[in-house]
Amino acid sequence: MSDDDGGTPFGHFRMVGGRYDRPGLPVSSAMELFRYERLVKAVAHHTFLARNRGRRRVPRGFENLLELRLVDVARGSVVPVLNRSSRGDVLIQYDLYEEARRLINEALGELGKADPSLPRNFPVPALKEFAQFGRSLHDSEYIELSGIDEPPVVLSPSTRSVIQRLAQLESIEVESVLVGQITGLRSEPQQFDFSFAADGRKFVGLYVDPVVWNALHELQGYANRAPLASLSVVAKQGVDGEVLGIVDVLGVEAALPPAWAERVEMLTSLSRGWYQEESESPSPKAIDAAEELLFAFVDEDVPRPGIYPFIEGGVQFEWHAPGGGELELTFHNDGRLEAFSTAGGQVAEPDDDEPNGLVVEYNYDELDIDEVLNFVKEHVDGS
Amino acid sequence: MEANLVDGEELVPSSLELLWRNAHPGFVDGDIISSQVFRLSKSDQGKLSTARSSKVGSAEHFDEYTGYLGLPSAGVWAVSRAEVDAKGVRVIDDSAVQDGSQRPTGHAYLDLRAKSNNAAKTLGSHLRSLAQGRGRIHP
Repeated sequence: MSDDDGGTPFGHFRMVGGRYDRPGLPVSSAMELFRYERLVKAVAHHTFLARNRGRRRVPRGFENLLELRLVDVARGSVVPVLNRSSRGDVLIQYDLYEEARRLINEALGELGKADPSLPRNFPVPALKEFAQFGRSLHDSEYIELSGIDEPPVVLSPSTRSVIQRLAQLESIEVESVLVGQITGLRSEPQQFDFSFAADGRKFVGLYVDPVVWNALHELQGYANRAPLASLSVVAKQGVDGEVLGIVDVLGVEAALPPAWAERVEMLTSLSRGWYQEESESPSPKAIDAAEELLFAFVDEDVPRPGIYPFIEGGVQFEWHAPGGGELELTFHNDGRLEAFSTAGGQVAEPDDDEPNGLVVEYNYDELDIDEVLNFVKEHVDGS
Repeated sequence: MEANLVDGEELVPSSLELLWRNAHPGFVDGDIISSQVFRLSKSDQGKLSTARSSKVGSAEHFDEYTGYLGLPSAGVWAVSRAEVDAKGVRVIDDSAVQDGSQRPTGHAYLDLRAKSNNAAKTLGSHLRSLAQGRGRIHP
């Protein structure tokens, strides 16, 4: 193949699992091809310097010797076909880029072993770029690299953790979705305060694009409590997988659909005595827990419940079956989450001695979202 | 006199008469009412308030509830006396009781004093379902 028809193949690149099991390449994943090219260039760059100890920089034009082009997206999960444009420069005789490609594959092969290590000739200064590659991969996804007569090797989120450990990096960058509340926002410096819904931890996050300010501002809380926001971010992730910080925001959206969020807003507007003189308003803790579970319902396609304040103080969700059965989840202000279900799909038959209401209690301070989700799915039709 | 009735109270006989119930705005999500519209609060002491259609119209009851009594309401829903009777629940008209309390016109209550907490809750769910099926009566 010549330059005229797109250059020569540069290894074999395949994206597998999760989003890649559907036809087409997710546009957001195209950045991985860019990161791959940057990694190849970094490995070639530092390999050149390692071999030419007296030199402090690579020859002029060295970086331009590699230009990867996406010439096709073939089927078989997602197979971006990468070709290399050849410039015919004299330095190509070293073919450090092809060597770099092989070295990356060799390194991934070593990292996939039980006792992982990096090849001795892998340039340490390129580890930072290596740690960036695959940053958008979700847990179920991986990138497979191979070449002619080369066994396929894999880059997955767990491989990235190994790279992080070997490189003794305190953190690596991952693209992730974080759910929580935006509680403060500044334009100079470009920072925002973020409270993580999962555990209440607070971060000062950074954003690079000034346009993001508007989106963050829309979901920032003022006098009332901030609504739950879903942020696509570049996060710093520690060795144990914990999020350590937010270095950029790629996208911002309300975590709940508008009709759901309006009901949560209504709950926050109730003051003491809202129903009867002694009625307690729903506590912030009860609203937080309820909102977090609502987000899980959205995520899991659980039908929207009726969202109500609770007479005795708290929040109540209700699902009503057409036949009369129902499920209620009540977030009491004292921290109890009570589930009450009448016989699914049947008209409730009250009986003093043997009521058919099923009652389960949780403590929402230690809420296992998955357990509650499973309980709800068992009792609600259509999820 | 029927057992447990105080002076001025009378049992409401089983009939197709409707029993009005106002719903707090917080208990109406879209057009779906909460079971709590037919649930007891602690201060109800086992008596779920209602008003009889034979003594007061739904609009008049709504106006009295929101105006004279100054309570918030998103509207009036209803179950029939017969539906309540089918669940073995007494309905007692206490509008004539002279104890110094202000009561809306045609006031009555569903007598749930003997019900367990869960049984009262389950009954509330059942009545909600019936009222929801009937739809908002007023406005």
